[in-house]
This record gives sequence, C-alpha cells and structure tokens, in this order.
Amino acid sequence: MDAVLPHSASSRPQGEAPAAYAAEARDIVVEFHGHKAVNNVSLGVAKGEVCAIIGPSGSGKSTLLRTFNHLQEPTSGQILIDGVFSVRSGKPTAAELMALRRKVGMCFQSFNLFPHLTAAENIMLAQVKALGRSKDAARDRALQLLDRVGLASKADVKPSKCSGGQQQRIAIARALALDPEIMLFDEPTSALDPELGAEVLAVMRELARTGMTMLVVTHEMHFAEDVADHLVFMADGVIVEQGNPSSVLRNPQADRTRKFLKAVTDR
Amino acid sequence: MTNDNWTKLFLDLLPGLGVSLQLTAGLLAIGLPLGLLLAVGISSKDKIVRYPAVAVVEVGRGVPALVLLYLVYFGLPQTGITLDAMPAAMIGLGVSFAAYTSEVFRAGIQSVPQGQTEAGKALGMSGGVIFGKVVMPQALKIVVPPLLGWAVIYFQATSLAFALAVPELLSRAYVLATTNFQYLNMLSLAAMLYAGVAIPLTVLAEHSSRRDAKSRTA
Repeated sequence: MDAVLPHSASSRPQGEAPAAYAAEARDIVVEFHGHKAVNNVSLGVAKGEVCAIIGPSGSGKSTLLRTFNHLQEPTSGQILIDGVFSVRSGKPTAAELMALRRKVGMCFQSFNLFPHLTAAENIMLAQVKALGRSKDAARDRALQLLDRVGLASKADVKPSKCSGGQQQRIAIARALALDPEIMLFDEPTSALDPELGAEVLAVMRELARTGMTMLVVTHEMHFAEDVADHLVFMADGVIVEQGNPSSVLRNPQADRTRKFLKAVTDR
Repeated sequence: MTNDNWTKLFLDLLPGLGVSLQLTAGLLAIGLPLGLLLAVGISSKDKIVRYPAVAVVEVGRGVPALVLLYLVYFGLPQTGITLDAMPAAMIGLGVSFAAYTSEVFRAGIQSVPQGQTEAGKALGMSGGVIFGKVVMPQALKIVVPPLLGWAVIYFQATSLAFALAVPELLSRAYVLATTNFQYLNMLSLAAMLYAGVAIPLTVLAEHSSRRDAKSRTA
C-alpha cells in the first residue's frame, strides 16, 4: 500500500508562499464498528481552488467529504476552515456546528430538496431561519440565485415538478444562498442521466470560474480534468495519489490508481 | 310509531350527540399533542426521556380505556384530585388515544428520509427549526389519514363515558328508553347517529390516504 501523501498544494506553482487553506482536514480518522472508513487522511483546499476526489465505492471519499461540515463526526482529527479550528476538541456544541455549516455549503447526490416547499421557499428557509434575513431579502436573493442557475421560471414550482438536473441546480442555489466560503459536492451528478448531469456540471463550472472554493466527490473524469485544480484518488480509506488532474489521470503512478482508471476508461 | 314520534325521539337524542362530539373534541385536544410528545419521547436517544414515554405508551395501550376512565374519575379523588365526569372522561380517553397514536406519529416522523434532516443540518439550521419546518410538515401529510381513523374509533369510544354518567349519546338514549320503554328504537336511533358521523369520516380518511399514496408515487 502506498503511503499517505502529505497535504495537497502540488497543484500550485512552486515557490509560492503557502496560503492558508480555505478548508483543511488534519489526520482525519472515521471508524465504523472497528473498520476505518477514513484512515488518517490530511487534505487542504486552497482559497479559490477546485479539488476533486475520485475513487471506487467504499473508498471513504464521501465520508471524508462529510467530515468537512461535521455531518460525519470524525473519530479523531480536526477540520479547519480558513485556518481556524471549526470546533473545539471533544463533542462539538450545536452552536459550533451551526456556525460551521453556515460557512460550508453542501450538495448531495440525492439533492434532498424539501418537497413541501417551492424552489424559492427551499432557498429562503435557511436564509430566514439560520441567517435571520427578512423574508423579502431572502426571496430577492432566492430569485437572483435561481436566475443564476437558469431556473428563474421555476421559483414558485415544487421540486417534484422539476427534472433531476433542475432539482440539483436548485439545491446548489439553496446552498449558495448562505454565502458559503466553500462548497462541498457529494457525487452531485451520480443520480442523473448524462444530459441532465451536464446542466449541473455547467453550473458548477460557472461557480468555479467565479472563484468559489470547491471540494467535489465525483465520478465525472472529464469534469475532474477540465475544472479541478487538484485531483485526489482515494482507495480503502487513504489518499493513494494526488496532484495535477491531467497528470494523475493520464500518468498515474500507483498500481491502485492505474487499476481504477483502467476500469473507468475501459467501459 | 308515527313519523312525528320518530322526529321527536331523534330531536331528543341530539343533545347527547352534542356531548359526544364535545367529548371527542376534548380528548383530541389532549390526545393529539400528547401523542406527538410521546412519539418524540420514544424516539429519543436519552433514556431519561425514553423510558417514561415508553411506560406511558405501554400502560395506555395495555389497560382498557374503561379502566383508565374509572382510574381518573374514581381513583384520583383518593389522591386529592377530584374531577368532574366530563373532564375525567376527556383525560382518560385522551391518554388512551395518545398511547395508540404515538405509534402513528412516530412512524410518520420516521418515514421522512434522513436526507431531509441532513440537508437541514448542512444549511446551518437548528434542530428545532429542522423538526418544525422540514420534518413535521412532511410527517403530517402521512399521519393525517390514519389519525382520522383513530379519531373515528375514539368518537365511538366516547360511549364509555356512559359509565361515568356523562350525558352523552348512549346514556341519553338509555335514559330516554327507561322512561318510554322503547329500548330497541332508542338504541337503534343512537346507533344510526354514531354511524352517521363515523361512516363519512372513515370514507374521508380512506380517500385521503389513497390520494396521499398517489401523490407520493407521482
């Protein structure tokens, strides 16, 4: 087994002073019933960087991603947002978790829109209830974000009347409404057919272009190569290989990476 | 018997029906919030909350409703709490209703996918807001039809308040029959009144549960 490589940053030009990471995982271990789903992983994402995590199912990539907003409580290790520990050691308080999650947006594989609310209401709810914005301000922001993801016409429509791709774009708008410093994406296109997935990827490209810091667990190799600044390959709970996306994808060093990429490209 | 007589008997029974409906409203006012509270209690990870909730639910379901009524009306006065027949019946039936419906509420809350709570957490909302604004609205849609069914059953169960001398529909029919000796007619009329309220509500409950199932698969 290859050793776990140190923090990322290999994608940035040599000699540049290491900027504080927008988000950093330090020595993260997640244990389920004695099995280490994530085994002592450290990973930093620089401000404005898009970091893609690829790897086989069960490699711990989603679990690692979910520790960044403590939806998955790590067994040990720390998460730093903007160089600051997101929670004190020990069991985090509800207030710490809420503060962390207002800075870290997240999109899920299954969208998880609130089915009883319209698209605009989905985007308004947390603005009003978590940030304390007025309903009018929240609605203005919701409409502006729906326009940005190309769904201005769906504002007053329930999610069940939208396609999967539209639902995921609404979910992205919902997360953006809190003005997060970093966005987490957990296989955002895996539940979508290729055409609908493409609409979502287009929105994510646009988001990356505006300088949003993004951490993306994905099976979309083209997206990873085109959009990501840094690529991480995980297997069996550890980072096997990481670096510039093109070089990892085209010239993998580790056997495990080669085996996985061969399985992907041979399809 | 002439039509005029039937009409008179029917009108004589109506105040009893009114009392039965009042009892139903009262037991629902107690039972629905208590049922929801018990559902939250039995789902709690905290043993100090869960065990008492489980105890109330098991006692409420394990003891016949009539025994609960007797306990509240005849038993409690020995502890210094004396209640009139009407509130005593509402409390006894309300506790019994809550014990049964806590399971309906619990199932409804649990049927809301975990991803909904996760999305709420990921958006930095508090547990209370997530429960009130995300989980409950979705759970309510699921629990309304079965709750309507339970409400019909407990509307019929208000006839047990007869045993506490509450002048509800059955008791009114019986008392009138002891004076006019028309037992068969009086009790049949009472039965028709119970059924006249219960059957349409049951049909409504079934209709809304079918519509609900349809809207969820669509």
